[in-house]
Amino acid sequence: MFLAILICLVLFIADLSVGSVSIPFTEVIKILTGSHSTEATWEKIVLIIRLPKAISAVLAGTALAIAGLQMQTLFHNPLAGPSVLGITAGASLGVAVVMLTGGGAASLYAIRELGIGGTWLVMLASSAGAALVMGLILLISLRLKDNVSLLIIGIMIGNVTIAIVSIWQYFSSPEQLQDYLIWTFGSLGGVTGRQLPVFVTVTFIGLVLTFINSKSLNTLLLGENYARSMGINIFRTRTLIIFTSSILAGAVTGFCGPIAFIGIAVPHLVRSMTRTSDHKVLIPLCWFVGTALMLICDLIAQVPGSQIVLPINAITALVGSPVVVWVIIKNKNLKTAF
Amino acid sequence: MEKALILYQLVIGYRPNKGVPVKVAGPIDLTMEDGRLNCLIGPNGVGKSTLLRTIAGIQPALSGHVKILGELPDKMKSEKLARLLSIVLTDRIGHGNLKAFDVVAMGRTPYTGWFGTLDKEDQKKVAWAIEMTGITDLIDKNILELSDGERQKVMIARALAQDTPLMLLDEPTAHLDLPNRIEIVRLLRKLTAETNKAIIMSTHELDLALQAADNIWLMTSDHAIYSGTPEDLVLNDTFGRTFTKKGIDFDKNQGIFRLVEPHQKVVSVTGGDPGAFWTKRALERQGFQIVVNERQSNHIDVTSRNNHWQWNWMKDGIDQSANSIESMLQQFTGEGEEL
Repeated sequence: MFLAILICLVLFIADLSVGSVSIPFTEVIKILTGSHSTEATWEKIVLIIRLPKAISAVLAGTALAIAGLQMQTLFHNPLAGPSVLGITAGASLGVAVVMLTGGGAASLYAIRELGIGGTWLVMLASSAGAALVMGLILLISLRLKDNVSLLIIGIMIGNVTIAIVSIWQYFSSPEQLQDYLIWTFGSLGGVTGRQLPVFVTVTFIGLVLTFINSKSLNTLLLGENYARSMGINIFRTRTLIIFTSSILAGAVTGFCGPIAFIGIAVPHLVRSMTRTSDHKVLIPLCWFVGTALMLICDLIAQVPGSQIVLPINAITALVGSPVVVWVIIKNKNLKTAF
Repeated sequence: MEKALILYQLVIGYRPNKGVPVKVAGPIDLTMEDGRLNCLIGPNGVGKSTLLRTIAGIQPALSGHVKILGELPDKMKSEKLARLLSIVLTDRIGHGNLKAFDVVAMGRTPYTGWFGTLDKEDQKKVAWAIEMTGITDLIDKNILELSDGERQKVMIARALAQDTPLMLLDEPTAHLDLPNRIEIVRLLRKLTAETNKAIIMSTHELDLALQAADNIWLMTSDHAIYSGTPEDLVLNDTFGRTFTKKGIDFDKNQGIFRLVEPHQKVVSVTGGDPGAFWTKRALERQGFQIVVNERQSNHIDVTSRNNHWQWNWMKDGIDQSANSIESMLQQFTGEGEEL
């Protein structure tokens, strides 16, 4: 546990020091601890640009990992995750509705200008979109016991959602389109200092609710019938899982764009590390590993030593997919490792 | 003292989303005492699972009610019901990173706080459940590494840790081989005797039910349910009537089911058991009717010396003998080489 925190801390500072301008480790620590750096510009870069971005990485990694873990348990499916089951697509739809309907006044930058109100608007729209898709999938899961069918349906719902968005895009003006497209690349840097408190609050609420729910999540591992027989209120548990996963995935998607694969990869990584399915252990570890993986992805996206910044969405997929493949190969079979 | 379980005018069935409710069985009026093992049997599709699910509160009754220790489960909070009733289902567990111990410990869910931490009392109950079911060697193993029989014992230990006066088991012996089946039933009998729990299990193993149950609930295809001591149900023909089909006959004298082949030939068998017993079984399978008449020309005598069995008979006035049932059948039925 101590080691995990230390690794996250080191990665966090590394993330602050790397970028188009390289800032030494010691200087970063100096700036963070409140003393003055030798160069005033470094101070500005770290505190105004890089700190919000690094904190966003921590929040996004945490939120996606926790949302993925809960969904895998709820659906009894090792392939469940925000990006796979169309939850992220649903959130994108919510954002598209906000961005593409209101004309120029509701463009991404206009929304930023609206301040907190606008931030909440994007957040709520994307969470509502996420909850819509997840609720739909869950409704179908009540009638369908087969996980593979459910997964295919989830992917189809995701496709329908994406199709609706692209039809919408077709009829949108180029300026609106550009905003939206940039948003879909995913960016941790887009979160401003004013938006950060909202992001922190939502992630924190999601984390706490999930942790409170960990006893029920554990009993769900035996299946819903057993969980019910042990006094667990299934309806309440399901609702809580959908609510928390939706706000977590929705917040990340709203603020940083659709970020793939962290949600599905991290829970598997953690399970294969600890060989346990106990959520009381998995939740804090998903927090740490999600944070660490997201920071690593952000470090790679900076392309250290260069001026280039790659879209974060591409990096998470590049890092995340091999992780899932590696876990499957290592355990021969995802089902037994799950 | 309240009865462990009372079913009062209970009608079980399904309520489809559209249309009229489908009655499966009832009205059922039954009671069950503490410390007894009750086997629920009946032909496939007669509603055994529906009855268990209704008692467990998973499925609502069409009318009437269930009372567990004098209380109505459908009026109870699920947490309270979880302290009265535990279940063992046929559901497979698909998660591989669960240790047997974790599964047993989960049985304490209704008693632990919001975080699920086990206190001293919980740990004592878990240790006791593990000891009672004899799974001490398995607790560190992954649930998916266990054999079907071992996993079933772990699930029973989990229900035991839940510490409820009533336990329901849906076909706990399905998919198990004979030694494991007997072990599970012995375990359940031990639990009723030592813990005074009331245990209901549904099963397809009729012979096992006849041997092990204190009481049998027999569901028939005509929506009725008969309750009684196994032996009474055999003697008053309820048992035979329910399960006798074309080609299968219930032998009341021996408490077993037989495949009935059309009798073409008669034969009599003498000699000591178990030799004579298994000889009769083999001959019956070949379509012989066993009669008690030594003067019949078709007569086989079974003798044993130093645990070696021998079969003697006469054919066309000549003494014949064989040293295994297989060779006896070959010669006697004339399907093998003619001597």
